[in-house]
Amino acid sequence: MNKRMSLGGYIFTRIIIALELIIVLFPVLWIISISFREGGNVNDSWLLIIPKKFTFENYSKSVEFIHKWLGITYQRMFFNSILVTVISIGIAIVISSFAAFGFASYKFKGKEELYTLIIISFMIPAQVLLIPLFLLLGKMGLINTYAAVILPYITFGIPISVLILRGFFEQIPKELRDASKVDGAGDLLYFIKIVLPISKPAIAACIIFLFLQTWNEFLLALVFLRNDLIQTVPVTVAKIGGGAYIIPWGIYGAAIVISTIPVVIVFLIFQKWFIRGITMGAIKG
Amino acid sequence: MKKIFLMFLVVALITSLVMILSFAGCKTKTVAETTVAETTAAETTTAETAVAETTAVETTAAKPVTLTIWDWQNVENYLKAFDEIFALYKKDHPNVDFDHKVVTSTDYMQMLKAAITGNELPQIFEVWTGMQMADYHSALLDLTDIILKDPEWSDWVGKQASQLDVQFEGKTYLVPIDMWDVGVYCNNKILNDYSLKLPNTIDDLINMVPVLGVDNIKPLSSNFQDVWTAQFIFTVFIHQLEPKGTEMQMQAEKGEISWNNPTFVEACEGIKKMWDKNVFRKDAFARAYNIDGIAEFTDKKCMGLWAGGDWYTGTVVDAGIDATAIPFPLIKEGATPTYLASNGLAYATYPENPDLQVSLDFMKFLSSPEVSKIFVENSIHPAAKVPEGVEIKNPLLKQIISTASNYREANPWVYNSKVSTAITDGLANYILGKITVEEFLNSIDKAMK
Amino acid sequence: MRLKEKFFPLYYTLPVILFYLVFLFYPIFFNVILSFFNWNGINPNIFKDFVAFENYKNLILDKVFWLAFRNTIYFVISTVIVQNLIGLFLAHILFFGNFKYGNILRSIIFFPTILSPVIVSLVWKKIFISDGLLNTILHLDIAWLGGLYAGIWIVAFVNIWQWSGYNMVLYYAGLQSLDYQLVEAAMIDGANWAGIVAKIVIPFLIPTITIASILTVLGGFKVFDLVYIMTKGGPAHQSEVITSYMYWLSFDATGPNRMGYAATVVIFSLFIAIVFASIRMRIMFTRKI
Repeated sequence: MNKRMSLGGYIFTRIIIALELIIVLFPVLWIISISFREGGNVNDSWLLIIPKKFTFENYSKSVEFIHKWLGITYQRMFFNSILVTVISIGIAIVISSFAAFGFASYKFKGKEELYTLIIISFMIPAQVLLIPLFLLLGKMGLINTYAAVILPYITFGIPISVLILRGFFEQIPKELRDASKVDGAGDLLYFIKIVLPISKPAIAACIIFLFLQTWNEFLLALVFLRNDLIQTVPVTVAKIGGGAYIIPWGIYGAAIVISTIPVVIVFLIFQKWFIRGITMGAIKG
Repeated sequence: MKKIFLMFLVVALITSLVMILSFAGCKTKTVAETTVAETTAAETTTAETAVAETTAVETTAAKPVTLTIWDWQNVENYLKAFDEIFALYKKDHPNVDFDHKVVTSTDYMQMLKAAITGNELPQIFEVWTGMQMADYHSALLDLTDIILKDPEWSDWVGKQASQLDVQFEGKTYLVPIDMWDVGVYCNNKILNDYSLKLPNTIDDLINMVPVLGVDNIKPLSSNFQDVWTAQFIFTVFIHQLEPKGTEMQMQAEKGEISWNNPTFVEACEGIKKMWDKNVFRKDAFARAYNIDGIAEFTDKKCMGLWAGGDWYTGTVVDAGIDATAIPFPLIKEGATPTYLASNGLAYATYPENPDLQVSLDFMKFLSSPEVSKIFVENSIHPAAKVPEGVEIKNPLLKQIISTASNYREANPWVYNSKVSTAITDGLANYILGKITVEEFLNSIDKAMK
Repeated sequence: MRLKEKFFPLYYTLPVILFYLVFLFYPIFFNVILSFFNWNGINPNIFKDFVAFENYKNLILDKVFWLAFRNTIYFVISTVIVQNLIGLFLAHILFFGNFKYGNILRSIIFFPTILSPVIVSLVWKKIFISDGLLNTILHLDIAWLGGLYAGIWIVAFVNIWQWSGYNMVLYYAGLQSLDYQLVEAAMIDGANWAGIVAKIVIPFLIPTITIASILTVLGGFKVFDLVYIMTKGGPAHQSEVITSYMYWLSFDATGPNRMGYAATVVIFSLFIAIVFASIRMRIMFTRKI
């Protein structure tokens, strides 16, 4: 598709996008630059971004720092986050795809009401559930285990995945189902053998959504995971910033950069899926 | 829409039913039974953890015990001191092991609250002295008789354990561990560089503003987000103006006198004057003490650190800053210099503690002269008596310990959380110019009703 | 309908329903019960002090709560409007601008969305604080975060910074399904650019705009990390939002420990949630997307 454009338009669009890129990237580059500066001072740089004196010390210091003060290593922190994220996303998607299939393929009493109820909960902020959940998980003896955050995360993951998947399942042509019935396959078999394989894009969209939501979750992880060794990335990062007063900003910058790297890698690999997933979630919703 | 709400209602009923069933125990039993039930519950859970951690649990005296201790003193010298203390204690008590968990002060209260409601308390934990006692005392073990009837313990720490801030309604709930002698740390180098003298009155501070302002340095650190830092100036000024400041504040809190009285008004106006003349950074209310305040001082962006107490002596000296500790500058000539002196770190335990004896024994140990010596060596001002003949290496700490006792002490605490909230909110609004001083003080009176 | 047909769907939805009952409805209704009690979060006997509707009465009279509510509304409205405008604008420019590396540009603009709000707010706080980057490079002394009025707008700005890319991606996707020949035809008819955007493109995007706005509203009512880290609701609650106020009431270290009252605030935000979610449902059902 060829879009015609005047020279003025050409220049205008380039300027706008350049401005936008500066606004978006400046804080990011700035914090990266801080992490390479001695002491992390605002003035020690050219054009605010390029450090006058490069040093990698902040990185090794930050590794030492979190080992010494927070009793955790970066590897362990990433492991915790990955474990919690993978398990909760996995379970959430399995159970919500079943539910979404139920909603998409059957008529039953109170269906839309139940569906609404499930979707509404997308709006409920996590801190609403904090105290009751703590009491509940305490009674179950789960506080301080991975399960303490995995279970609520699954619950938070359900509405958006049911939403996306139902929308997708409903678009699958009826003929496919009829054909599988002719072949003698039951509904369950039809769901597993036919529906799930063709729903890969929708499932990918769910994974993207839940990944962002779960990986960045802060409050519940802070309260429910009190053992240093099982804490997730945001909690550890916030601790570095919130408590260790003597830590120079340079080390802090390094900690922020290190803890963001995995998300950036995931994003770079699955770029297309991120954008497609976000779009799908919203449009279907 | 109707159907949705109907559905909602049905689910409400079901879940409420589940909930009421799960809490039925609490509702039907008498209070005494409830405590017993909860005690056993607490015992079993802690016992389980103990099994997991130490493998063998027996009811003999020398059973292996892991004492879990929580606090928020995440400063290097505190951690070092505690490591030494643990090692010393283990020499005589090889069966005791320690799990010392240190978090930030903001996370801490949330964690503690959750632990109290979830019955997952550690054996020994820090509680915010003063302000929060009215709410927290119900969960804590009453230590009044335990400390005061033990002649040795009472001799060590009796004076501080009788302070208002570890008490509620005359009962002591906390074992004070270290002192809070809050004054102002002044950076000698900055004073020399700009040929200034140590500030004696707030006018001296105000006169510094243009001199230091050239290099964007402020006379005092700006960290009012932790509301107590602003509230403490108010208290200091009251005590500077009025010999019986503590009594006056207590009377005001009990409603015996109005908050809107000349002394309090004058104290407020002193703060406002400092604020209007830019003694602090304009966004002081967005700056946290532990993060921004101390960094501002160690980065040499302010001349004085308010509120500087013994908890930062190590940090400041380690950062290579030559500082002098002084009481807060006077609100006017002729006022009495005042140190805020109260208890800082203070530990509590709870009645259902399964290892109560061991916990109490260790808490007593923390008040002992051996431990005080370790504290002093690590730049901490212990609440217990400092044994004679111990050399205080940290110059700043030495100053604090030797000078603090020369000045009038002010106890900064407010018990009633409504009053405390009214003071902190009103003070901020007043300082920022949203309300007048009368409106501010009257709002405290109103909040008490 | 046969019995099997009637109950079969329940098997599919059962796991979800179970999770919901235990980890969502139970906590919510625990909150409902709690809102009738005066509990400080510490006393082991939760249901000791029954106060009936006193908490609700206090809520209506509580100036700070209405301040927090107002701020939340400010936040939601400003983010909805600005985020959508920026998103639409950027999507247009990227779509009609014939960019060679459009995909990469879109990814970069989208990038802040994937960052943790905790990290985003910590970085921006360092920029806005009075001896931070902004005042230093502009040689200003402005209390961006600590003033009476600016706090909530700064927080909204940071939120817009983080989420504009998200809206842009949504609109870009919407534009991709636009029939470009319509635009070309209008051009041949001599319509100017503004006219084309107003008459063809915007009407075409209305469904996407609706969805994006609702998503932004939903996210806006949930905002917590940004406010909590950047201003902590201060000074004197001037930049408080509902969630941060609730947190302050129940958990804050220097807060008043009013867990029962905080539960009442929760009920209020739940009420708002239900209202907005129903609007969203209504739109969904009528348009059958």
